[in-house]
Amino acid sequence: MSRGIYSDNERVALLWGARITPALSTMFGSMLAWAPFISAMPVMPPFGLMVFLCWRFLHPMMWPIWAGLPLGLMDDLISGHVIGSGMLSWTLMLMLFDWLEGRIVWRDWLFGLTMGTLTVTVYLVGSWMLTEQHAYFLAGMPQLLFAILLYPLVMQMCAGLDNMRFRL
Amino acid sequence: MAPPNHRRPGFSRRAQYALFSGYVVAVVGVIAALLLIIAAHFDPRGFRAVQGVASDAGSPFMSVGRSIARLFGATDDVIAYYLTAVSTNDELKAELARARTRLVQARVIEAQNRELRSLLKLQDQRTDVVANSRLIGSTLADARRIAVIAAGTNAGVRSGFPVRAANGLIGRVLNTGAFSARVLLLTDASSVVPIRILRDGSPGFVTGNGDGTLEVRGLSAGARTFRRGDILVTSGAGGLYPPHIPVALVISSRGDEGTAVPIADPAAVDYVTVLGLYRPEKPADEVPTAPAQKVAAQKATTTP
Repeated sequence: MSRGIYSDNERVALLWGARITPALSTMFGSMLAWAPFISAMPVMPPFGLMVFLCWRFLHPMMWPIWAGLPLGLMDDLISGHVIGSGMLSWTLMLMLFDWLEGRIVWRDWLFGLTMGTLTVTVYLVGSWMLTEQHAYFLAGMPQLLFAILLYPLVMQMCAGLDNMRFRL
Repeated sequence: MAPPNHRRPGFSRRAQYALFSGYVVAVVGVIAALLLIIAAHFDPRGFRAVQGVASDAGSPFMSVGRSIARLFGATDDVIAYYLTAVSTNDELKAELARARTRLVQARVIEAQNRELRSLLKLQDQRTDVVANSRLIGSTLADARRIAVIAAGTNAGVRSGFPVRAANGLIGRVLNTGAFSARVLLLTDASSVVPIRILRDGSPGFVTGNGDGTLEVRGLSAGARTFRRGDILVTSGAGGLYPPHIPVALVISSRGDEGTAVPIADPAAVDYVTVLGLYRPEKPADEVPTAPAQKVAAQKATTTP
């Protein structure tokens, strides 16, 4: 099986908690959009996507290539995006990163940080443009700023979960 | 470190097939997602059942969380009240004195209005209240401005119904679940509301900017229609929104355009009312009114 870092230790990979933690944490990130605040502008960073990306850069082979389909659909439904937009963009992201990583020589945490930040930025700006909100650049700045500043934190939390999940 | 090439699983046929089928699933999924987006673009209401279920799933979290948030918000306010008690008291007394005289004036005008209306044989068109509900959340991560209310099809809410707060219009229902519904707010770019200026009754319409402000355009081209401080109310034109609901306050104007802010702030409102669809009555009894309409039409054409 092509299970990435687990291929040398299949017994570990079959641990139940270790396998569902990434998907559950991504879904939890999406569910943060259910926070009970009402605001005139979008302020909540796309936590679901951020967790998804952090796991991707932590373990490049962990997500199967189709993982963006169910997780993106969940995100679409929970946060009220157009259905299909998350499925499409998340899967394309996975494919893009696989293609990119075949071309770069070195991969380290800095690559994950820059690529993740860039991706979130492109994703947010793209979603403003697609929904045709006239004043999106000004109105969306807080959301984008929060997302960029919180990305390293999400990365840390994913790494923490990664250490914990084999003991679940 | 250099990236290990995991996507090449070696000589195992089984692993190669697994990888290949993974890509097949992904590509098929991407195409399906694209079709879903296109379908949603041409038929925005196509997936409202699915989206209704999704908003139902989220509504318990939202309403519990909102109660907790309100609890903390309330204690915050209480402390502030103690600090400003004396000055607030004085202000309120002065305000009350002013309000009393205005109330008497308003009562007189109301009585007069009733008399004039009965003289004109105008029928009061009451739009029925469908449901009263709490505003429990909004889409925080999505660029579209959508709020969630805690009433759905069980309470008779249907998509398209207008939603108002006590002090003004909030928006209209986008899709409904069994016990929750998503409401498109006025500030969303896809929301269009026909309005009148309260001052002189000139018509226009209001669209959202997406950043909490509204763009307002007049229908009479060229004229300097809007002034700062103008109050805009729904006109009822085209049905859907009932007339005379306060919508927005103009904060700046450029010719026949202007910028406005909604009067009812969804962030500050707890309770909203879902109204039934407004259907303006057709000009009934064509026979007596037809000549009058002709005269009016002629007047309109001769006086441009």
